[in-house]
Amino acid sequence: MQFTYIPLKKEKSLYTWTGVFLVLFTAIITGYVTQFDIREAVIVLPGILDFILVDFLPPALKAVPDFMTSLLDTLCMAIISTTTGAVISMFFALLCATPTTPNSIVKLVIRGFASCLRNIPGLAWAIIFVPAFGIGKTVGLLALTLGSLGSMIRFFTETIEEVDPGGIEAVRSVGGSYWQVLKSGVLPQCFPGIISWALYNLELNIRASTIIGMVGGGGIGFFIQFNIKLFRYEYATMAIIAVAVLVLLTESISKKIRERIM
Amino acid sequence: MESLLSVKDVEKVYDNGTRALKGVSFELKEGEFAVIIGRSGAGKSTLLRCINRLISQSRGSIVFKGIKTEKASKNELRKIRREIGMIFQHYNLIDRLTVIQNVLHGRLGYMSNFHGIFDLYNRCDRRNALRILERVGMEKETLKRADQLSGGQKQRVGISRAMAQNPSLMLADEPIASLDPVSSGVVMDSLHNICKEDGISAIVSLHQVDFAIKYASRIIGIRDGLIVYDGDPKDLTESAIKEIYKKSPDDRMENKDENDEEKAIAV
Ligand SMILES: Nc1ncnc2c1ncn2[C@@H]1O[C@H](COP(=O)(O)OP(=O)(O)O)[C@@H](O)[C@H]1O
Ligand SMILES: [Mg+2]
Repeated sequence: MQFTYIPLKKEKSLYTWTGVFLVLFTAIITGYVTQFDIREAVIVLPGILDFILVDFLPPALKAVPDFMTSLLDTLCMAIISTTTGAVISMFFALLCATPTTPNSIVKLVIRGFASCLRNIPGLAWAIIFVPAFGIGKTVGLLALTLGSLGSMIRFFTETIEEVDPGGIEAVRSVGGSYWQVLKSGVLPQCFPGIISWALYNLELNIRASTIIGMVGGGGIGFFIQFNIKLFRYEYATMAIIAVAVLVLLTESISKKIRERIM
Repeated sequence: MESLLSVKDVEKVYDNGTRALKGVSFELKEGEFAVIIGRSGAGKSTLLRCINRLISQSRGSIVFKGIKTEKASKNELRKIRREIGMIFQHYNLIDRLTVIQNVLHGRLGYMSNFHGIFDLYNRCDRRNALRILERVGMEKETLKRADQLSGGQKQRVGISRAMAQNPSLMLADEPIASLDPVSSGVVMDSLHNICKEDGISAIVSLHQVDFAIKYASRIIGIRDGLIVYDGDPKDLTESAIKEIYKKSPDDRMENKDENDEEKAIAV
């Protein structure tokens, strides 16, 4: 046993050192290329720490009542955009997943459309929509919905394509129509997957809605941005903590739901 | 007796060029329990799938109850399929649904889209489904999820779903190939008894020649997409079995088929 153990350990440490060397090497090269001076960072570090510790702390508890509606707005925007996005995505996913597509041209067109959408982040939509709709929840909702479509269409499509074709075949063989095959053969099989992706998307959207809020999408993001501009950093900190709590809560609730529906 | 099903010169060439059936013809009379035997890759599944048009043949004609299936419209096809029960090697149940929900799926072919989509099975259908489950000894499992069942139980649910269709023909594609010998016996007994009692004709493809001889009223041997034996199980001699399971000269997947041969010869 020792025979095999010793060389293995040596190999491992060789990997480690190669790794460390590569990381350092890349850091130095990129530092050189971008003219980033590590010494500068070290010098300003105390300043940043000071800024964070003194200006952002302690979080202002008295801000809580001020942003509760904004936080609720953010949550609602995330939920509504995810639900709307999920329904639209499901429609498209059924049209372009191999087992359920009506024909291969529709399939190709929707795939192309979805992959275009996927390359435009929600943030970009928000920036595009602010001039048209003005700052507010409409922009947030539209941006989040459009931003979730691309990836949800893709996830849903993959979920539908992973369905056991045997179940579909069985419902076809009893004389089931297209719609009955969808309802009785496809949906029960992909249901947990779809819900699970939608919940994941909800988590993403809560996070994203904060950032989208900062560029004009309303909700808690707008509150944070607004207070930073007014140098009320402790207010912003409190709001950021609230967002973190909200995200954690959503994650644990969605985990519970996922376990229930398997 | 008139024939329930007539298969004439059926050929099937898959998109990749594989000729799975090379001109198969036979007539099935009412009440027959026909067993198809043949090596894996001989074309058994292809033939069964052509009969209820899960796939369509490239040439030839299949007539079920006087209707040419290849000429059937979408609606006529549903009517044909709902009268042909099908049982699968891998059961093809919807795992997340309960036993009774799976059995009730057998009624979909008789229901409108609306009723099907909202699970509006009528009282008669529900009562019948329960009675069928009793007949196959699965009444205690009615509300269990399909993925909690053993293989043998799953296949009995598969039989129940097909029976819920009230079929006049039953197709079974290697129904016991994934089961241990004991469950195999139970499943084949259930299938055979139910078909006999209700006068349902059946075409069953099997891997094991001993099971074939035990249950069949007629044996059809397929090799390389052609029928090489069609007759009474009594007349199935050792040399006839050898002929059915003979390796074809252009067989490239030799290793894959080695096992089948052993299984088949061990009568
Ligand atoms: N979907 C398919 N596409 C292409 N070739 C197929 C397909 N299904 C089956 N085949 C081929 O057709 C032949 C007959 O297959 P199959 O009917 O499944 O045989 P069996 O059920 O007797 O084992 C085999 O050579 C198989 O590889
Ligand atoms: Mg087969």
